Amino acid sequence: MDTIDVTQAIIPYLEEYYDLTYVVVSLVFLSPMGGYISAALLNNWLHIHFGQRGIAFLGPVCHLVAYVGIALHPSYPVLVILFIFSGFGNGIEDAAWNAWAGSLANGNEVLGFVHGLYGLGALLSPLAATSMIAKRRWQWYQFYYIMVSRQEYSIHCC
Amino acid sequence: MVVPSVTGCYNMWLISSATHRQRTESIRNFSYLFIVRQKSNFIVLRGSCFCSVFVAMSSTHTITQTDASAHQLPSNALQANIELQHVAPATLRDQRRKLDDRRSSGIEPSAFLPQPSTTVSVAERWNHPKANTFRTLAVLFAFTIMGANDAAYGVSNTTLSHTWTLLMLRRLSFLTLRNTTI
Repeated sequence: MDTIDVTQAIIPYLEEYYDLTYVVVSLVFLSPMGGYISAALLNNWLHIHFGQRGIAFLGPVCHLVAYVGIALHPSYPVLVILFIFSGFGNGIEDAAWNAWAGSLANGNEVLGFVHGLYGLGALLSPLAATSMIAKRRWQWYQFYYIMVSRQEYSIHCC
Repeated sequence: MVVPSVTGCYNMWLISSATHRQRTESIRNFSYLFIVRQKSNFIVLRGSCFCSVFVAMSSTHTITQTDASAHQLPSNALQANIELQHVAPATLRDQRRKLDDRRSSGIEPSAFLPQPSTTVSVAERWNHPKANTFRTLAVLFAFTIMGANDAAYGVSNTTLSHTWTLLMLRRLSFLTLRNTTI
C-alpha cells in the first residue's frame, strides 16, 4: 500500500532539513517496517495480556509518542526510532481492527468501509502535508498531533 | 434382493419379486415390489408416485404395489419414531421453588437444563450493541489516521510524480481523442 501512495511527501523536506542523502533518508521507510514486524510478533501476547482494550490504548499511544516526538523535530536517528513507534502502532491496530471488523456480521462490507477510509486518509494526508508545508515547515505535524489525540480519545472512550 | 430407497421418513423398500398382485405390465422379466410401511393411503400414494419416478429414472420397467399389511417389515427397521413428550412445567417450577426457599437468588433455572448439543455463535453487528457503533466509527477514524500516516512520506512530487502524472494525462488525452474521433 505504501507504494501506491507515492503522491507527495515530507521526504524531500526531510532531506533538505537534515541535509541527508537519498539512501539515508530512506531509513524512514525501513524503520516502520521494523515496528510492524515487532507488532506482528507481539500481537498475540498483547491480546492475551491486555486484550483489545489494551490494543485500543497502546496503538494510539504509540502514534501519539511518535508524532509528538516528530513534531519536536529531533535529530535524525531519533526520528528514525520514532518512526518505529508509528509503525508499531499501525501494526497492532491494523491487525486488531481488521480482525474485529471482519468478525462482525456483513464483515465484507464493514471491512470495505474501513479500508475505504484508509484510502481516504492516504489521499488527504499528502494534500494536507503539501499545503501546510508549503506555508510553514513542520506545521503539518502539529495538525497531526491534534488528529491523533482525537483518535486516542475516541478509541479510549469505547 | 432388497434395495432400500432413500425417501426420508417414509421408509420404502423395493423388493424384486413377482409373487404379489401386479398392476402394471412387465416389459422384461423384472418386477419391482413396492412396500410402504405407513398405514394411511395418502402416504402410500405419495410413495408410489415417488417410486414411479425412481423407476423411470433407473430404467426399470415394472411397478408392483402391494398393501401395507401384506408385508410387515421387522420392527427394528429403519424407521425411528421420535416423539416429543410433554414435560410438565412443574418440574422447572419445583426447582425454582427450591431455590427460592434457599434464598439463593441469582441462579437461573436454565442452569439445571442440559446443554444443547449444537450451539451457534451469532456474529455481532456493527451497530447492534450500541457501543459497537462507536467502536466502528473509531475504527474507521483510526484507519483514516493510519492511511494518512502511511502516505505521509513518499517519493518527491517534483521529481517523479509530476512527470508521471503529466505523461499519464497525455496518454489519457490521446485515448480520449481517439475514442471521440472513432
